[in-house]
Amino acid sequence: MNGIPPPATRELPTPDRPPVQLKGRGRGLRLSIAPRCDPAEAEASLRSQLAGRGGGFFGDAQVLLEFSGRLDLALAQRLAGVLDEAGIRVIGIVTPEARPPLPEPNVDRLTPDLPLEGARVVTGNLRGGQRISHVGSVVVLGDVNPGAEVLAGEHVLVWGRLRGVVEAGLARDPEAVDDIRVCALDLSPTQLRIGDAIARAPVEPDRVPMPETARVVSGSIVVDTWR
Amino acid sequence: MAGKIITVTSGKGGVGKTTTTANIGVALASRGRKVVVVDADIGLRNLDVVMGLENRVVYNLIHVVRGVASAERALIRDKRVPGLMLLAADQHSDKDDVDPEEMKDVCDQLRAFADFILVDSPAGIEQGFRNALAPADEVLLVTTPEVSAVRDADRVIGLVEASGKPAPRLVLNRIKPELVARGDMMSTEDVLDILRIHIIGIVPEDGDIVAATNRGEPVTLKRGSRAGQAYHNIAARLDGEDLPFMNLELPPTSLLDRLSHLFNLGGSGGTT
Ligand SMILES: Nc1ncnc2c1ncn2[C@@H]1O[C@H](COP(=O)(O)OP(=O)(O)OP(=O)(O)O)[C@@H](O)[C@H]1O
Ligand SMILES: [Mg+2]
Repeated sequence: MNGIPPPATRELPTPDRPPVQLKGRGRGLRLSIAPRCDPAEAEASLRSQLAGRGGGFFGDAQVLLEFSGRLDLALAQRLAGVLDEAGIRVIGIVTPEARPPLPEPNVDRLTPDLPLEGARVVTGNLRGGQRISHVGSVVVLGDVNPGAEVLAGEHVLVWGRLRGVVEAGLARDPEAVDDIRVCALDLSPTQLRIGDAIARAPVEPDRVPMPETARVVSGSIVVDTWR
Repeated sequence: MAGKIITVTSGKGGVGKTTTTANIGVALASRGRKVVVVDADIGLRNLDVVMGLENRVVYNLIHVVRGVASAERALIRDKRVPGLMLLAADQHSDKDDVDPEEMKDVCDQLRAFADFILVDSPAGIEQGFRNALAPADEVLLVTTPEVSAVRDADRVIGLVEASGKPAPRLVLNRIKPELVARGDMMSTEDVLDILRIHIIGIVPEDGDIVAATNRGEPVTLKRGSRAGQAYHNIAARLDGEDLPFMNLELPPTSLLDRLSHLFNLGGSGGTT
């Protein structure tokens, strides 16, 4: 690969972002705290920003601590101490949404080549204790929560998270379920049955949801990316 | 006046419905609203005890249903907080002595007396729950961050939605921030990720609640309690204020003490 010039990009100069930034004016303040910042640097940065704003002259200001990364309680306490000295009350802590978002369903790309005539379509989330059964296929436009059950004669399609129990292919001879599919934007069922094959989602706390489809191959359930 | 009826329910028992009802009642009344709290946990009278009004109960909900007393006569006015009133339950009856239509009728009468009518539901999803749900304009769902409580809460959301009412708003109770930070307790996001409803408040685990309950003084009456601040915030949101949402809502006073207690860092508290 000699002779190929490096791509014509350059490192953008990253403006020196302080580990913490005090925002807002008057009584309602916010302190945004960068992910994984060093406690000593964060404290020093906060002190200099307070000094820059005229130190100790905040009336009865209130501040929200906003973590943009993981909540660090020790750091929160340390910063709260500094704010307290300046007469600013910490009224709450905000942390970002910790979950990876569900993938955007791309209906054109994902709609599988399944015979779905006569399917029962459920709009909304199936909640714990709710059960849907249908002789044909079942399509859920929402989540199937833990404790919910879907029983389908044919295929099951979930445009959401599948975390409950699903039995598909119930109208079939257990030996003749090779074409049956169970598809979900996040396939992590409590239990999944197709014919005589049973599977459970492995416990993967940090799993990033992705569309998957399950089927039976020589008596056991296999999962492929749904595309 | 045409008060709004808000039912507080949970599915699983013991997660904090009565505590939530009493404290939101105090918080709304201390904002100057008129509030009636209704004990719909018939047979297990306890809202009056938690509010310290037990010895003032003369007439109760069953009396109003049967026409023995008017709603106005049966209401007990809480002298500590102007505008706060209680309609007690009857210890000697049981849940089947009232039906959803009668409950609706009584609560509709109460609309004339208050801005908010808060109905404390019994645990479960049987008759008592259906009675408490029937009059509701809005439902608050209380859960603790435990798998079993969240599962029951999910079930209740399904039932509320099936009854044609709007999806409940969530009160997440007994959060212990230090356990969440260690990954040993379900976080707010974990719970919302399953329930997918709007949240209206997060109430921390607070030892003051147990002590306050035993004295019949809802914590919200006391300044500077952690849980009390959370209840004030819930009341503000019910009252239409757009407060920013916080994962941890802290009281306005003696911050450092409370932070170290809350976070269990070098503080004395260890076994809440
Ligand atoms: N945030 C909290 N911190 C500490 N203790 C709490 C908290 N919330 C509730 N409790 C305690 O939990 C217990 C149960 O609370 P409560 O009676 O409000 O629950 P409930 O849902 O009404 O129960 P039930 O289903 O029996 O009616 C009480 O002892 C109460 O003091
Ligand atoms: Mg109760």
